[in-house]
Amino acid sequence: MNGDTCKCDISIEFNDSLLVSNEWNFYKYNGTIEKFELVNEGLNNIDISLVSGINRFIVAAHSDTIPPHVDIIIENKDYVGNVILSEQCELAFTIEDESGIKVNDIIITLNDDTIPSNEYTIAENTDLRNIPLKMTKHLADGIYKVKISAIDIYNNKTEESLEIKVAKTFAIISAGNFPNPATGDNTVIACRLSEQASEVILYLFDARSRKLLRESILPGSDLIVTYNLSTAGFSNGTYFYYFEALKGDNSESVKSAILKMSILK
Amino acid sequence: MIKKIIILLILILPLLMNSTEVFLDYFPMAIGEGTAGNINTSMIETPLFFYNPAINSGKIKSFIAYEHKFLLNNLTHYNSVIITIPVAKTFGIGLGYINQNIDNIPIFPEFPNNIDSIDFTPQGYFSDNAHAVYLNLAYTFIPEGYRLFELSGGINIKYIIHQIHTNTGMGSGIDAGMNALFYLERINFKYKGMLNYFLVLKDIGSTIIKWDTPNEYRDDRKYTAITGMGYSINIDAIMTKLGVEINAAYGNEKKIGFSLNCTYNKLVGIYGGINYRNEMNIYKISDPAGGISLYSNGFEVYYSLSYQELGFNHSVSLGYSL
Repeated sequence: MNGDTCKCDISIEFNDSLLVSNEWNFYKYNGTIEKFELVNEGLNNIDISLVSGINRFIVAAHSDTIPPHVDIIIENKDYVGNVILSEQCELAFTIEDESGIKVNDIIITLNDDTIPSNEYTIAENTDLRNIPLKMTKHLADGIYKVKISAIDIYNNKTEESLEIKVAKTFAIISAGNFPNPATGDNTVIACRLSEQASEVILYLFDARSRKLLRESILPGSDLIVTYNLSTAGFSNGTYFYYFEALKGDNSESVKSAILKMSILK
Repeated sequence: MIKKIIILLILILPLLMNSTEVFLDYFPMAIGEGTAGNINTSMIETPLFFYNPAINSGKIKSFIAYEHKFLLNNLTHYNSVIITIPVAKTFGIGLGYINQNIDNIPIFPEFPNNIDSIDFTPQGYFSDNAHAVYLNLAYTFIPEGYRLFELSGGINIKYIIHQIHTNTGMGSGIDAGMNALFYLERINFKYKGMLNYFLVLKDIGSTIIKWDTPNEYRDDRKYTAITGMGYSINIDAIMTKLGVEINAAYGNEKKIGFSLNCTYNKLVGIYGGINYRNEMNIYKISDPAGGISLYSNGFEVYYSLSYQELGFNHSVSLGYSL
């Protein structure tokens, strides 16, 4: 060999037809995890890379069909209800597999854009059966889909994704009414704010888009705002509502999405 | 004194309750959407008996039409179908169907005791599907001899099925209407065109919906009385037919409505409408709407757009006269 690596094609033939099986694969020894990892499924058209020194290969079969287990964790302290209230998003990933993980085949994407491997870190001396990854990204307000894919040494693949919302500015993060459908005498309509508001206004409409209620709420320092709606006087049916939150001297206002509420007395 | 109080209560009663089965308040067919529901007179050829049960009489052709609405920026969907058959020159029957679907309604549990443990992630989703089937009967009285006017009357019998999540409500109701058509030119040569006067009573004696919920809840849809006038004229010089309508509604619905309709050479039409409606005890302009229609070989295609506070309504309908 002239360099550190070279490539070659090899073919294997069995003299004994009893040995011919579809389950035979070609494996290369990985000294880091002290295991043979799958190089080629089957024994046809094997294309391998050799490094200088001793290269150990075997023809064998494996029974591991379980893909790695992957978790995506948001480490921000100000992460509430799938919303990160900061422009600096701290993401952590854990990948676990009893057989071992192919580190070079880990792919992380953010809204389908692949993150280069130099933008995330893997702790030194990591056991390749349990890999922790960390990544910090500066993101503008919006909704993002984080996806990670990993394969183990036997090419069992897994993918995991998480949708996150970044709202570092004044926003209504989420809203709902409890219970829904409202089967009793009342339902609590609630919303969660990203930061303190001076006033929150609840608008309620019937299914014909006719406004039935405009209720002003002073939330004080609370970030969860609630309104107890009595269902008396409302017919069975579905209603629409949304919140409008005002900040400070009412110079800034935000609205929630339009939500659906059913009353079933 | 007691008599006055009783009369006052009867008049105020519809103000106290929010409307029930509000899908019946949408305007079936695209031309209904585009005129903000102000098509109670016979100024248009289409026999839309949903509005005035009387106007499906005196027609000479059968009519079938289908409509789909994308309501409130696609928040909910709506369909309507109408079939009318002239049994005799003065008598018509019709079948109608309307439906509103509201999907992806989130399921949330009871409010937690500890507010910090509140979880806004839905536990699932359910739908709200409301259906109404109409049977219409309409009759026109045509005086013999030199005809100065026609007088029509009709009724709608409607059956309602409303499903929300795992529960169903069912009920029926009756609408009635009359339309008086005056041929102005025949009354006095100085005048042109036709004048309509109409009166419609919807949900006569309340339409009651019974629910299969544990407490067998009953919803009452209160009556609405609508009256108004329409005027239409053929301007032969420009091959155009013009029509206007103004009406007032009281009861379950409280509004004043206006619409304008213009058809050129029986090929293309434009129309618009608006309402002045009571909302939270304040009257305000609402339902601004408009649309366009095309007519060819018995086919009618309509597209209408209207604005609501929660978004736009888009409506498309296709009709055919047999």
